[in-house]
Amino acid sequence: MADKDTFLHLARPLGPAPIGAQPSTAPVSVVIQPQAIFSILDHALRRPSDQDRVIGTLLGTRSEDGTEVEIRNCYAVPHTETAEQVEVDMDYQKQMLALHLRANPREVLVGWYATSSELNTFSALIQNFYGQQGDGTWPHPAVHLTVSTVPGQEIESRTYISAPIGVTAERAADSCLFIPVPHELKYGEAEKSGLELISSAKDREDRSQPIITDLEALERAVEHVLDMLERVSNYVNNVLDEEAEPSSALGQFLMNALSLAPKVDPSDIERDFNNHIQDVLVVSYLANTIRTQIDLSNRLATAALTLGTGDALTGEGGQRDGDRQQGGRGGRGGGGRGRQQRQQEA
Amino acid sequence: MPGPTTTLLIEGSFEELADELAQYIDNLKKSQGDESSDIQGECATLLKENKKDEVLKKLVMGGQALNQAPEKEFIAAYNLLIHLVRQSPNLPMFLPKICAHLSAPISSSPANGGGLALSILGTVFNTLPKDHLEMRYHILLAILRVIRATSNFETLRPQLKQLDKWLEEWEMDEVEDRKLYLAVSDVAADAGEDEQAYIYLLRALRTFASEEVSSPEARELSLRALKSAFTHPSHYDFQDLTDLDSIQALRNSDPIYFQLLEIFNSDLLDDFNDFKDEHEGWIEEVGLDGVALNRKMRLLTLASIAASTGQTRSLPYAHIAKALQIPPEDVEMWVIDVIRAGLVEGKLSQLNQTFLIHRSTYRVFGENQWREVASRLDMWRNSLVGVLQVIQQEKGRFMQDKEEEANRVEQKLEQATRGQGRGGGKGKPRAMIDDDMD
Repeated sequence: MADKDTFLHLARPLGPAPIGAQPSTAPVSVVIQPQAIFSILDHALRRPSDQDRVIGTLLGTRSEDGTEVEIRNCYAVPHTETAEQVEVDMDYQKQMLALHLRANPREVLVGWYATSSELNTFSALIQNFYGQQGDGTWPHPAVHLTVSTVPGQEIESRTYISAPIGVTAERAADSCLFIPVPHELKYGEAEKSGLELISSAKDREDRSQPIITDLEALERAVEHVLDMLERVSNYVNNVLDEEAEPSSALGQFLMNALSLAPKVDPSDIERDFNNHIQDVLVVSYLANTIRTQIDLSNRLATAALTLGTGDALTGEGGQRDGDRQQGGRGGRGGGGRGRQQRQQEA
Repeated sequence: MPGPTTTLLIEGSFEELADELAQYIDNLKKSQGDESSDIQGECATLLKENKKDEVLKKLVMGGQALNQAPEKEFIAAYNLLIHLVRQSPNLPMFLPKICAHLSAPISSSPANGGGLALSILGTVFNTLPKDHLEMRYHILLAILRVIRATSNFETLRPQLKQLDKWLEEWEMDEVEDRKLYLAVSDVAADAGEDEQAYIYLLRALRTFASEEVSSPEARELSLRALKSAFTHPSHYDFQDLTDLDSIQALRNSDPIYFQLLEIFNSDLLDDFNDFKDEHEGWIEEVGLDGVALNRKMRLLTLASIAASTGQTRSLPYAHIAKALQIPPEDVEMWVIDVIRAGLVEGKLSQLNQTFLIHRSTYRVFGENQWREVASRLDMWRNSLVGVLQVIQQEKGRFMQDKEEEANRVEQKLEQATRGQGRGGGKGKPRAMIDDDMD
């Protein structure tokens, strides 16, 4: 996201409060989940060529006092805009909202988005529509999210809530003041690494990217950490050579981070390691034994099959195995197994 | 890409809107019993003569009446006023008046008055045109006044991180920066946020240029910072103070304070006791809490001796008891206190009567500490390089194995096809062999 203008958000306009609660002017903050942004961008890509911006409804959750809004989902709403008038398909919006609420009752209507950073009087109209009593977000303010979608430029997002303006009812109906509110895009580690993988394919000719294995990921991570260590020790060496200004806060922080390694006696480590090795050895020995047992019973089972006797000798495991063989593929299958076995031994 | 320049969206000409607002204010005043008010009439005449600024002056002066507006209409009416004022070229002329009105208590809404005023001031702050950006400073000061009066520090806290950026943008001089920092510090102190108050006090101190460091104002602020640092229950880092020029200037003007600071910065409890003997009664005289100072000094001393253990990283109880001048049975309590203060991390071994230190804070971060950091970094890097080698080796071997296996399968396949050729059309020679085996 590009650098943006700073603003101050101290209080939200006083809204009507639910009965029994004090109306409050506590500031609002908005959290946006990336899938909502993706779906907005997708909508912007598929917009009709003659439309500058498209709009849609934002769904999400709101904390009880209304100070925190989380935008989780959204859907497009058709609308047409000309120089003189704006038309929003309200029936469609209502139907879609009802359907969404049926599928996911916890995600409520929180506001609307537009795919351009511009605010105009139509924005005010739509904002008032979304914030109205009845179908709107009333008594909470509707959140307006603008996502700029100018090709070749950074994507910029802004969030607003609105306050009334004007002293007469008619004036207030088609105008409003947009109050910028702070917002934050939140995504988890897993989403981030997934996206990184996808976006790394964009520079390749065939637009494909193989998924890296755990081992490769580990290798990369180790190299990454080595790089960072290199940078830090460069700084520290510079400080020691009196080339860089020492910052005791930074040093203290480094020291704290480096002290996180637990203090353990080498003899303790050796003992624990040996204990662990013994455990591993026992497990691997047991695993081998079991494997041998299975092989053995396999052979006995197929042998019994060809000879037609010897069930008593094969034991329980062999018995079951033999049964399956009989019910399943018969002698040929047994032969196949035998072959596999031989290949392993080779 | 800058944000939208205007967020106030209202249709209607200046004249219409001004007329509506004037009427509204008149009505408000009349409901208060002030029948003589006729702003609407006066505005109408002025509008005819096209004196917009005069109209605005009237409206802004009448704005005081808005403080009595019902809380639901308050914001809407004020927003309209801001919208009108913004259109004037003489914007800076009106804003101080508006700020003053908003700083006054809002009589119609005792519970939410502060929030309402803050909301309007925030709007004024945000909608200021680019060429009047420096006005934001004065509005911010007004905002701080309102916040202080309504004890609303919580709403301010998330915004404070933008302060530096703003100050940079506004290009204010140091005196004004300092005024702002002090205002923030006062607000924080009133809200009981001693830590924040202290941080902003320090920032205010940093604004003193080197030639002003011994001015009476600088001295007063420095002493204030010193005192709050000494008595603050969870502040243990004095190095930031000693680095300040204005504090260094105290060395000449208030040597006793400076001596005490040096003791707290790097010395041990013994030195503190010597200091107390030397300046008997001084601590009480200047109003410092002797018990708290003693306690703090003990914690700092324990941190110091923990940091000086070096590679052994363990401290016998007896040593701690001696350094802190406490009975041995109290050692564990003190260690727990110092861990809670975040100066040291470690575990107590009652069996061995020692304190095993994981991490300790260095009160003075000198060259030796940097060397320690460098050596630990090297150690970490070396072991990581080792790990990387193992990984690469294993990976290479895995690739090799895989290749060999592929080769083997290929060979087998070749053999099989050759065998098939020899067998001369026999269906499945391999299966046949298997069957024979079984």
